[in-house]
Order: sequence, then structure tokens, then C-alpha cells
Amino acid sequence: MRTDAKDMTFSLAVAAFLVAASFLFFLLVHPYHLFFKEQIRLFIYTFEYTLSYLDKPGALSCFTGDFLTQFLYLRGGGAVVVSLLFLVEWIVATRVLRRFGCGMMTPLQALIPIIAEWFFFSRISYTPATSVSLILASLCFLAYSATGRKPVLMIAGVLFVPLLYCLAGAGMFLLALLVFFYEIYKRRGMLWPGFLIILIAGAYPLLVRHAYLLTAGQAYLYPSAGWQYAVPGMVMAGLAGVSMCFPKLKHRVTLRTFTFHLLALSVVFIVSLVYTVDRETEHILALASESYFGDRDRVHRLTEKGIPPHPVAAYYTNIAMSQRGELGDRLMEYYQPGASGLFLPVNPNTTWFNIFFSSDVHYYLGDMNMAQHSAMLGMIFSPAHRSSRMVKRLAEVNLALGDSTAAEKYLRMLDATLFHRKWAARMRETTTGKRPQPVTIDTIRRAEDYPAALKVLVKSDSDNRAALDYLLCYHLLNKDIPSFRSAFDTYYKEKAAYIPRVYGEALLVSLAAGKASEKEFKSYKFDTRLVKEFGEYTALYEKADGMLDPVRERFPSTYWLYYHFARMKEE
Amino acid sequence: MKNIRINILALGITLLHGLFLFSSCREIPVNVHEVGESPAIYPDYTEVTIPSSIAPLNFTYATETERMDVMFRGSEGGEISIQGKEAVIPPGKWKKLLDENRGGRLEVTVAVKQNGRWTRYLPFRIYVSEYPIDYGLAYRLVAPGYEIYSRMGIYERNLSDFTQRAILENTFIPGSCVNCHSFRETDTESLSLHVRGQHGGTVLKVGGETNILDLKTPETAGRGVYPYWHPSGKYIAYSQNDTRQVFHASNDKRVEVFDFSSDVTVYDVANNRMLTPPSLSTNGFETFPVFSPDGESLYFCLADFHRLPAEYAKVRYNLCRIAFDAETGRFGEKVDTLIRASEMEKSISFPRPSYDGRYIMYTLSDYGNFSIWHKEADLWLLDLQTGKNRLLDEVNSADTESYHSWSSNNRWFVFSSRRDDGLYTRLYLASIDEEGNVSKPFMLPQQTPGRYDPSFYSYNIPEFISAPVKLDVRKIEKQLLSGERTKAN
Repeated sequence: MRTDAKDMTFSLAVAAFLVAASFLFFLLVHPYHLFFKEQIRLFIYTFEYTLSYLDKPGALSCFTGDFLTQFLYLRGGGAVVVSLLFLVEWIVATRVLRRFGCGMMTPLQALIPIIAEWFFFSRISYTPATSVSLILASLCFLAYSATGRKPVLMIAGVLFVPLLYCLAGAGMFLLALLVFFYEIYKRRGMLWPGFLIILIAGAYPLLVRHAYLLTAGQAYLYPSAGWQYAVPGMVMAGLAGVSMCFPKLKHRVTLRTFTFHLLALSVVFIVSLVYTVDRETEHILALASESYFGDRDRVHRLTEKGIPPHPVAAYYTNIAMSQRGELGDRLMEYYQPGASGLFLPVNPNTTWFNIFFSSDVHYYLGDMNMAQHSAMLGMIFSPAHRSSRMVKRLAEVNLALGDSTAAEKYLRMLDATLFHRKWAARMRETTTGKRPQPVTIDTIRRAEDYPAALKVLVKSDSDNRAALDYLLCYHLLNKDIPSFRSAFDTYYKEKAAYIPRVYGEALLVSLAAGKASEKEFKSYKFDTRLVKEFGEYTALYEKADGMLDPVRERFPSTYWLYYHFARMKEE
Repeated sequence: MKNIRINILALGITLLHGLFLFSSCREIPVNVHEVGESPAIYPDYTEVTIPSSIAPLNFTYATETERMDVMFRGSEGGEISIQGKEAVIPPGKWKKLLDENRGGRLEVTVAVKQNGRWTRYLPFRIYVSEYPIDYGLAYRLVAPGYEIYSRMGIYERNLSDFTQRAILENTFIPGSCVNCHSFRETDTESLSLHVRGQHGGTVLKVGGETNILDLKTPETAGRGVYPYWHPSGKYIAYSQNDTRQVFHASNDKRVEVFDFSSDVTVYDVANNRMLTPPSLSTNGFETFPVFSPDGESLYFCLADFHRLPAEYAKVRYNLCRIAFDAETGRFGEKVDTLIRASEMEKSISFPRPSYDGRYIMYTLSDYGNFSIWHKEADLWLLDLQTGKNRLLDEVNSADTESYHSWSSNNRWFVFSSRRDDGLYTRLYLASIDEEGNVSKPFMLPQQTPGRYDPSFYSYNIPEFISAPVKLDVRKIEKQLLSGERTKAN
């Protein structure tokens, strides 16, 4: 009795640790990874939508996974969902391992597959559907192992494998492995069910993959998106196998065994954490998500911390700077990957991750046709081909275009969601005047002809300062000084009382290169300090004779440095 | 396999639905307010003509309702009464009612409960045609922004029920794009299907044999767009289009697609050779080739050369014809112009002759050949017997009508339209009788007709099919991935 109470206390302590640690981790360390998982999926409460899950294997896993994913939209919701999912998985893993005779250390041993899961949960492409798949497979094993020696039930278990593939997808392999080990462990005289189930599980995806129109790799992994995501299941099956082979593990908790397990687990946990925490991606996703949530203050705070060298980070920082009217002054204060930090390219060589965010700048600048195009591609290219964030964007674009019929299609879709329906209602109430104004001048241009699009926006609305800044900065980042000068003189020079620092630096380069007259020079009303600095820079640059370091040390965030030393990469 | 699964599922849904209807008490409408107008149902099935084998025309009310009470009464007998939030018709009863009323009509009475109050509308009619319709439709489902591709596929839909089956999806061959499927009339045993991408090729199925073709020759780019079979099955006409997509800046137009160059070629199936007559590879733009039903002519669209993209709005296509001898594979010397649309400052796309040779249906827009993005695009019908050329007012809408095709008996046609939301094309079917009278079109029946349409895909290139498409997907995958191609000469 006292031992049972100790076991219970021990289990509760482990469970509490697991829930608390995972909750805090996903609340404080990786919250934006979870927000993003929700943004690249969409869960609609309609019958037809539910039916669509049957098109591929693992229907129940995917359905449940997407159902859970919708809660990741809430601040703190992701941490709750993930920690509860881990708890369920841990409870099931504990039960499974106990069937293999694991002893009192089972609560600690059952943490190992969960830690592996934890490790992968922080990857963008990992979905809760994979976790649900493992839980379903484990529950099926518990049901199977409860059948005793009745051959009819065992046959039913064997036949259940194909059904489990339809419901849980690749989780079926966990069931097959567990049954295989279990039959060896428990029923030494009757091994055929184990072998049969392994055979069926191995062959079944290949047999049905053409009906599901999947490649062999996809058929064996669905709903996971990579081989690595099979690791938690393999770890669980491996633990069962090890427990079976090493019956000494059944011993009771002693100080020595406890210490050993705790040390081993701590090492696994720390190593996992070190590899799990991806601060760079988290920072990028934070910028992208807070920009999506419309929290400009948070975006500003994130940009002030310094950004990782990634086009998406530069992209959102540029948008934030433009919103604050500081783009022309601070363009060179942070990482710039050329013009692809202003517009994320959409072409066959671009990753889906970059395509997904590409509509934001077009919407911000008022280029609605491109915003719609990018949003459609962003959604279709996202892993599940349906995205709540992109549906919202498509609704916004069509409202801005005045196409209420098209907008309603998306708004009605959002009406059928749990957490976006209020947003849809708000959008219907928003008056047209509060939305970006569509352009009135028509022309055609290729998707990647950004200067043409920006010129139309500037001509269409002379108050569109953001489009003008983007046009000037586009030329600057491409080191196209003549085009910058031409655009500046045409759209900016007469109106501006103040020349932003980066524009001033570029103008000085242009004037110096063109050996401008004094009259021409004076027409720009430069800050005298800037002109003095340019003189100092020129002298230092000539003295340095092509060496970067001395120039960078003295003029670290200047366009002059970018102009002379940044190398343009071929797209 | 998938068919079985879907059928089991459909059965389950019907049972569940029946159970729901049974369990939810039927309410007898009381204090009904009668109004003298037709009900605003979605999809709009009022006064439409349908084939007797069509799937149930489930519908909903255009605005939120608490309950609908719907009564279908056949002119030749039989009735169905249903009640619920939507009008979901039991398939068995529907089939029986249509069988009983072939050549007759159904009178449909709709009462709607909103804010606790019942309103009954004027009854409307659904006419049940005596003309049969083919087994189903094959179409592509693709997101509207098609420039680069992620997920798309070719699907078939049984018109008697709601079963949709994937014939081929591009995720099956990662990095590919499946497009431009064509059958010999509606015969699924003769199929041409182009796959683009790293493992691309033109899939040709003739009878039980499947082959992957490389149509690239020194004279042709091998693109194999807009295929159309010769009625003998010996030839397939293709156009070779170098297509580009650009975007409008203003909000009333969105996308513009045009061909930098385009020629028409014909593939000789038996001799594995490409025919490239000079009269179909001129300096102008030739596209949309289709053979006449007697096989003695090739219709196509032709526009004068213009500098692109600057003069995109000046490119206007006329409907032309050139003689073709199927025995020798030779073309006539002279190109005739059937409709000079450019003189009306209009442009023709997708000419499709009926299989009895009486009509050519085509799309007319202001310019260019990618009518799907032109709101003004409408369907027109040229009667080759009388020479009468008319706008199909009966089926056109304020939005785009574009791709269309004929049923094997020429009494039905299907077309794509953007009338529902202006963005995603849906399929509509209409009937045409011996005198050329065209009925009001009806939307391809939907199992769940609700207002929450969760699809992000447009229906594209709909074609009637007489039977399910039997494609050996295993073999096609193996052939595509192996890189082995039958190179056309």
C-alpha cells in the first residue's frame, strides 16, 4: 500500500514537472513557433471540410491535430495545448511500457519519447497530428494487449492495422512494432500475429498509396512531413524492446537507480533543449506574428533588439521602419539582403516560408492585385494548403478592392471558425475609408517588376509616402543610383523639407559621381554635417585602398559603406 | 478503393442525415406568410432544366434560416417532402422522382422559417429533360494564381451522385504540374494529359496502352497545350504557347495572361510525328485548335502579331478554319476566316464544335485569349447550318463565362463561370434542344450546398466523360520517373 502511494506520488511529480516545464517553455521560449503553426492551418466547422480529411491517410489524426492547432491562436493557448498533449502522451507511454514489464522507473522512462517529441514540436513542419497519431496507435496497442490469448481478437487486431492507417496514418507502425515485441515478450509460443502485423504494416502503405495518390515516402510518413518525425515513435518502441530484453529494469526505485535515470534524463533533456531552441527562427516568427497581430509597439521593440540575418527579418523590420516614417533614415542600421528584404521574391526558387509572408508588403503599400496573388500562392504553398492568416488577407484585399462578393466567400469561411469569426464580423463593420485605398491608374507589369508597381502607387496617390520610400530604397539597395536620383528628383525633391540621412548619403554619391555644379548641389539643402562626413568618408575610403575594416569602423551604418562594399548576389 | 470509401461514406452520411431528420421533429408550418415571389435559394435552381440522372439538387436559402420546408411534386406523380436547415434530398427518393417525371417537371414549394416566422414563396419549376447526359465530368482543380504551382490535380465527378475522384494529383510526382487533359470526344479510353516539371511529359493513353511522349522537335517547343483529338483518334492537335502572366495595377482588372508566341501543331499518333504546317506557324498568334466532327477541317483562333506586353489590348483573335486530310495528314493551302471578331474589337477563344457538326460554341471577350480573367467574357453560339451567330443570353452572367464543352449527344454543355464570387470558377450545365433553344443553366450539384464553401480551387477545363477514367497510375508514375520518353519526330 505504501509502495503504491509512493509510485503515485512519484508519477504525479514527474507529470507535474513535464506539464510545468513544457508549458513554460512554449509560453516563454518558443511561443511564436506555435502561433505560426496556427497561421499556416485552418480549421472550419463544416461537414464538407471535415470530409476532406478522408482524402489522405491519418484522417482522425489530421482532424484532431488541426482541431487542437486552432487553439494555438490564443496567447498562451499553444503552451496549454502542447503541455496537455505531452501529458496525455506520457500517460499512454507509461501504460504501454508497463505492459512490457517496466518497473517503478517507468514514469521517468516514459519521458524519453516525450522529450524527443518536444524536440520536434519546435520545428515549423511538425504538426500536432503526428502526436495524435502516436497516441492513437498506443491506445490501440493497449486495447490489443488487453485481448488475452483469444485468437479471434488477435485476428481482429491484425485486421485493425489497415483501419488504423486510415485513421492514424504512420502511427500504425508504432502499433505494429509494439505488437511484434509484445508477442515475443508475452506469447513466446505464438509469434505469428507479431510477424503478420509487421508484414501487413510494411506492405499496406505501398498497396494503397496509389489510391491516396501519394509517393512511397509520403505514404510511409503521413501525416508527418519528414523521416525525423518518426523518432518519437521509434524511441517508444525501442524502449519497449529494451525493457523486454533487460528485465532487470523492473527493479524498484532505489537511490542509485533514481539518480542514474535522473542524470540520463537530464543529459537528454539539456542536449535536446540546446538543439531545440531556435532563437533566430523564433525572432523572425515573432516579427511576422506581431506584425500580423497589428501590435506595432512589440514589432518596434523586436526590431530594436537587433534582427537575425534573414530576408524575412529584414522584410518585417523595413515595414516597421516605414510605418514609423524612419525607413529613409535607418535603412542601413540593420541587416539588408539587397532588395529582397523589401519584397520577398515569389518564384520557383523561393521557399514556401518566404512566399507565405510575401503579401504583407503589397497590402501595406496598397498594391491589392499583387497582395491577392501573393496571398493565394502563400496559402497554396503552405504545408496544409489552407491558412487562416492568408484567408484573412484575402478577405482584407477584396474588401479594399470593393469586391464584397469575393470578400464574403472568405469572411463566411472565417465565420465557421472558432477564433476568427469575431475578426470577420469586425471587418464587415469597418468602413471603406479605414482600409487602404486602391489605385486608380491602370497599367500591367510582371510580378517581379517592383519599380513599375511602386511608380503607379506613387502617381495614383501622392500621399503614399510608404510607396515612395520603398521605391527609393529599392533603387538604393540595388545600388541603382541613377534611378534613385531620378525618382527622388521627380517625386520627392520639391515636396520634402528634410532629406532623410540615407537618401542624403546616396544623393551625395550621385552628385559627386556626376561632378555636379554648385547650384545643383545647393538645390538639395543638405545638412552641413552630412556633407562634412562625406568628405571624411571619401578621404578614408581612398586611404584604405579597398580595405573594409577601417571604413566600417568609422562609418558602420552608412549607405556609402553599403555602396562600396556590399556584394550583390545573383537571384 | 477510394470510390468504395467515398460511397461508404456517402451512405453513412445519408443514414446519419436521415437519422437526424427522423429524430428532429418535423414542424408543421403554421401562420404562414405567403409572398408572391420566388425564393432566393443557393444555388439558384429555379426554372432550370436537368437530366433525369443528375445528382440531387441540394440547396440552401441565401440568408440565415432556422428551418426550410421544401416540397417537390412531380407533374407525372411522386413527391418528396423535406425539412431542415438546408434542403438535402435523399438520393433514392430523388432518383425515383426524376425517373417518374422524365420529360415532365417538378414543382418546388419552399417555406422558410426566420425569426420564428414562416414565409412561403411562389412555387418554382425544375424541368426534367428527356435527353440523357454522360456519366460524368473531368476537370482540373487549381488555385486561381497559377504562375507557379503547389497542389493541383485532375479529377472526375460522377454526375449521378457526388463522388469526386482524383485521376492524378501533382503531389504524386513532386514538383510537377498536371494540365491540359483531353479525351477523344467523351471517350476516356483516348486521353492526352500534359505534365510539366522536372519529370514532365505528355501522357498519351490509347485503349489499354499508356505512353509518355516528348513532343519537342526542332520545329516545336514541345509544350502540348490545349490538345484536341481528331474524331478518328489518329491525330491530336496542340498549340505551342509561350505564355506569360502579368498583373494589372487597378482594381477592376486583376491578371492578364498572353502568349508571346503561339503556333498550332498536330501529332500523328500512329506514325509518332509532329505535323507543323507553315500556315499554322505564321508570324501571328495561332491557338485553340479543334477538329471539325467530320475530321476534314481544323478550326483555330488567329490574331495578328503585336508587340507584347505593350500592345496586349490590341491582340484580338478571329475564328479560322483550314482543310485537313486525315488520310495523308496534309493541310489545305487556304485559311478561311469564319468570324472576324477583331473587326468588332472583340476576341474569340475556346471554339468548341458540337459533335454533330451543327454548332460552334466559343467565348468572346474584349481582347486576348485568356478569357477566364475577363469579366466581360461571354459564351456565343455559331449555327453552322444557318450561319446565325448569337450571344447565349440564356446562360451568360455579369461575370466571366469561359471554358465549355459538349456532351456526347450534343444536348448538354458544361461551362465554367465566375458568377458566384467573382474569383473562383464553378461549373454550370445547360441543355440545348433540336431547335437550338437553350435552358437556364444550373450549378453542378453540391452535396453540402451551404454558404460556407471551403474550396480554394477553381474548376478548370471541364470535359464530359462517358465512363470513369481508367488510368494505371502505378505505370504512369514509373514511366514519368524513369525519364523514358517516346520522342516525336
